[in-house]
Amino acid sequence: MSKVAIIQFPGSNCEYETAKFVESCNIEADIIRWNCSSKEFHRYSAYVLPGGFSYQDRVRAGVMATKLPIMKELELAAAENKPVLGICNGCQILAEAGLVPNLGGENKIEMALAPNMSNDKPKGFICDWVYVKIKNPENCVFTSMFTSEDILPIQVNHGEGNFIIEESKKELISQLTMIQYCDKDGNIVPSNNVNPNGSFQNIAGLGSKQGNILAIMPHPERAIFSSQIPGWIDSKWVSHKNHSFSNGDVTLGPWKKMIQSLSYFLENSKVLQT
Amino acid sequence: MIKLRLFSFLTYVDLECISAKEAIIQQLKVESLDSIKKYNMFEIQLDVETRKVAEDYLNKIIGSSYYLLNSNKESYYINNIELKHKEYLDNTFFVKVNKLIANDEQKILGNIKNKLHVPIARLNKSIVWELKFKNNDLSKEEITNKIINTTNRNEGLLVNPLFERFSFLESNSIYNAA
Repeated sequence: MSKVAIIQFPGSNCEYETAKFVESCNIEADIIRWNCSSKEFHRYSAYVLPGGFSYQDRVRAGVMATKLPIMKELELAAAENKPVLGICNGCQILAEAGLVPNLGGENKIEMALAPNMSNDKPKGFICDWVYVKIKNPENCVFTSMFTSEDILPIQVNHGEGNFIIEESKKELISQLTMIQYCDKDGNIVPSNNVNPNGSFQNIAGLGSKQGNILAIMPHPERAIFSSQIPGWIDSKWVSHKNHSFSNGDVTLGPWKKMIQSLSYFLENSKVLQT
Repeated sequence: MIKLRLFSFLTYVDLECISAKEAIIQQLKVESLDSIKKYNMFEIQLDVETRKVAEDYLNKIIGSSYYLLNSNKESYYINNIELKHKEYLDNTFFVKVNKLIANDEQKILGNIKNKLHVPIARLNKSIVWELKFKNNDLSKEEITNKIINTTNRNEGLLVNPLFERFSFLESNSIYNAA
C-alpha cells in the first residue's frame, strides 16, 4: 500500500493535522524527521512538507531548510515523479529550493514568497478565511479531481505569502496549475479584500511544470472536514457543515478532493508499476 | 540636515548567524568562513543644524522607544561599527541587503515623528552582514555566487534576488578602529 511521508523540520507545527488530512481518505501517513536516512526516506510514495516555521524563518522563510541533505533526497524523489506537496512553510521551502515551478527543469529559483503587501505597504502576518479557484486543475496530481469552477474556502496564515515570479517566467506559468484568490462568487480581482497578500495574479498556489509538485500557501488541511468551516463565511460548505452536525456525521470538506486526487494518482501509478 | 547611521545588533548569541554560518560551511561548502555577524542599519536624516543635536535626538529615540531597537536585548553603534583592531578587517566583507518591496520604514518614521516629536526627515533600513574569512581565497564575485545570491539550493543564501538587492560596503566607510 502506498504511504505518504510528512516531513517534520525543526520548527514545523502542522505535521499532525497534515497527517490527519492525508489519512482522511484512507492513505497511510507517517511523520518522518528531517534527518532520517536516505533508505527510510525513499520508502514513501509521496511527500508533504507541512506548515510552521522551519529554523524560526532565519535569514528568510524556508531557506535554511532547503540547505539540508534531505532536500537532495526530495529532489531525487521529485525527479522520479513522486508527488510532493508543500503547504505554507512547506510552500516557501519548495520555492527556495527551486522545485516549483521549475519551468527550466534545473531546480533554479524562479519564484519567491515575499512579505505580505497591501497597496504597496507592508501588511504583516495575516490569519483569515479566503476563497480560491484552481486554474488548470488537470495538470497536477493534487488537483486533478477539482474543476476550474470550484470556489473553495480555505484558511491563510502567514507573513510571507506574496508570490513573486521571475520576469521571464511570468507568461509561462499560465500553463501550470494555479490556485488563485477569488471573491465568494469566484471573481479573481486584484482587490486587497480578495488578494490578501499582494501576490502576482492572485496566486495562492502553483504547480510544477512536471505536475507532480504543488506549493500552496493557504492550509488545505484546515478545510478537510466540513466541521472545520466557520459558520460566518458565505459558502455552500457552511450548509454542508450544518447538515452534517444535524445528522451527527463527520463529512469531508472542500479540500477532500486534494487527497482523493493524490489517492487516484498513487493507485494508478501502482497499476502502471505492476 | 544631518545624516546619521545606527547599527543595532543582538547582545546575546544571534541564532540567525549561527544557522547561516552552519549552512554556509556545511551545506554550501565554504569552509573558509570564520564568522558571521548581522546588523540592522538605519540611515537617518534629521532636520537639525549640528551633529551633536542630531545624536541627542537619536539617543532620545533609542532611550524612550523600541522603534529602532530593543535595548533589553540589542546594543548599537552610531555612525561606525567599533572594532578593537584594524586587522580585524582583513578578509572581512560587509554586505548591505535591501528589500525591493516596501518595508516598515515609513511606519517607523511616522511613529518617531508623531509620538516622540523628533524632527526626522528620512529613514532607510537595511541589513548588513559582516562576513569574516580565514584567508583571502575568495573574491567578491565568488562570495556573491557561493554565499549571497541564491539561485538554487546549492548556491547562495543571504539574498533572494527576486525581492532583495545587495551591495558590498567599503569596510573603511563603516568601521572605526580604536
